[in-house]
Amino acid sequence: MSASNLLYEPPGPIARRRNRIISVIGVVLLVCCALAAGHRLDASGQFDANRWQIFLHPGTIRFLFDGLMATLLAAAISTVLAFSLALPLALARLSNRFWLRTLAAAYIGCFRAVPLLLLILFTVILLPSMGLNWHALGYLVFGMVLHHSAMTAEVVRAGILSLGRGQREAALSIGMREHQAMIWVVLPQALKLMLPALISSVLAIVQDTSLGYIIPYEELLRRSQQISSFAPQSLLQSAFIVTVMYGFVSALLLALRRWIERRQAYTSRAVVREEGVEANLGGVPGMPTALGPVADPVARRQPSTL
Amino acid sequence: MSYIERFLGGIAVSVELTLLSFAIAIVLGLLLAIMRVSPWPPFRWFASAYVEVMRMMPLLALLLLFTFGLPKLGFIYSLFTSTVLVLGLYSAAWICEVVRAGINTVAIGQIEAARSIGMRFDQILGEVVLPQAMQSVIGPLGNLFIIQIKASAIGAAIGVADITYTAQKINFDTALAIPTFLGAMAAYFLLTLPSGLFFRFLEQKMAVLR
Repeated sequence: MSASNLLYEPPGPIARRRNRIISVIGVVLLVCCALAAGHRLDASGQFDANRWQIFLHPGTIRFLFDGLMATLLAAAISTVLAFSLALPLALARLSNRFWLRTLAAAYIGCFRAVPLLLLILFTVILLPSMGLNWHALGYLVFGMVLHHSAMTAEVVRAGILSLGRGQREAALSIGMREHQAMIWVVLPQALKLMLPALISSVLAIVQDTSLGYIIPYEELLRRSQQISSFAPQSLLQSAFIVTVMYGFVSALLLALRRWIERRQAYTSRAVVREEGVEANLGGVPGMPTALGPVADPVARRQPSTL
Repeated sequence: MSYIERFLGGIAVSVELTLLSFAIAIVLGLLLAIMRVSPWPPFRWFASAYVEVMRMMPLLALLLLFTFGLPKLGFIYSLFTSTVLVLGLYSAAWICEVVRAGINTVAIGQIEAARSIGMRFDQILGEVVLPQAMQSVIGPLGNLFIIQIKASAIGAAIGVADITYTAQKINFDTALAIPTFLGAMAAYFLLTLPSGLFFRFLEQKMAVLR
């Protein structure tokens, strides 16, 4: 933040005039692009009333609303299951027991490496062949939980590591057991730190429910496709409306994230550590976690001990 | 045609998707990042609006909008091209964020020194800030590349013959779901592991410059 404000001198009168000219050119360019796009849309009649009329019909509104509810339902179930799997996975990944650690690492490695789409496709193929004939929601949630529990486990691990080891060591030194230190000292602080990153995980889960489209599970994206198959003239319009609906849900989650960040900002150390959580994941705030190993700041600071 | 050969064909398509779209994303993302730190408000607004909008949209929704929506306006692309474009446009937003975070890691003294010898915005950015920002950008960039490999599977949803699509087709032909799934998984590992190692190598090489 700070550096980007200093990339140029405070402008003098000449520079201010130049900046104003460039800004005006920028605005004109943007307006021209918008007008060109608008003209293109208008020329193919996308603003005609008959293409939008269908969305005023209460049946259509209900249809889309049900789709949104289906999306949120799938996201809610996936979030609860994935998060409650992620915590034990992360703890197992950090465990002192070799086999537990290796197993957790293998699970996390496997399901993060595979695209969610592939996972869902084969969930739909494999589970029925094993005699599990579920509702489409079940397959979607199953695939999502496999993938996102692994993703979120890495978020939790990054959060625990970013807390630093002093807290755990202090707890051990006053006579707590390993698990007591984890439950009463490390986790409460770490969970608070990783809250923004967890909100980003929820956002990723909400957006990934759109993959239910291929199962097919009757979620929001699928519904927009169905509207356009029975009212082909309204294809762009239904896509636009559904995009706005996704955008609304995402904007709520992003606002929640910002609110949490602001609330926690009164201790600057917490902010640094919060950023540390996502830096440990190898990215910038809000970025989905990649395959790369979670950086271990503790290990980096103390290379030879332990 | 043997199944291995079909998988190799799928791997080739996935690699093409990833490389082409990542190239688009890097160019566009860099442009957006420069816009975001520029002294001209309209460019800053445009770049941050772009990033926000991309963050709020599911990738698949964008892809379907491109493949089914744009032909209605007279833009007709092949499925492959539209997948590349969508992946590129989508991850450009993240590359912008990564580059911006990288710019923020450059020590303020560097920028102040550049300002004090009278460098302009473009000189400061191009000759002082960006070269140094590269060091801290390369790690997250590698992670974005791996995410891109996985995201390229989205092409399978509209029928681009990448690894995921090939696996699905092979499964229809053979009904051997578990070996096919493991094969597809191995194919993705084949792509992600070397690229992870490559970017780690790059990162180490850059770190020496410091």
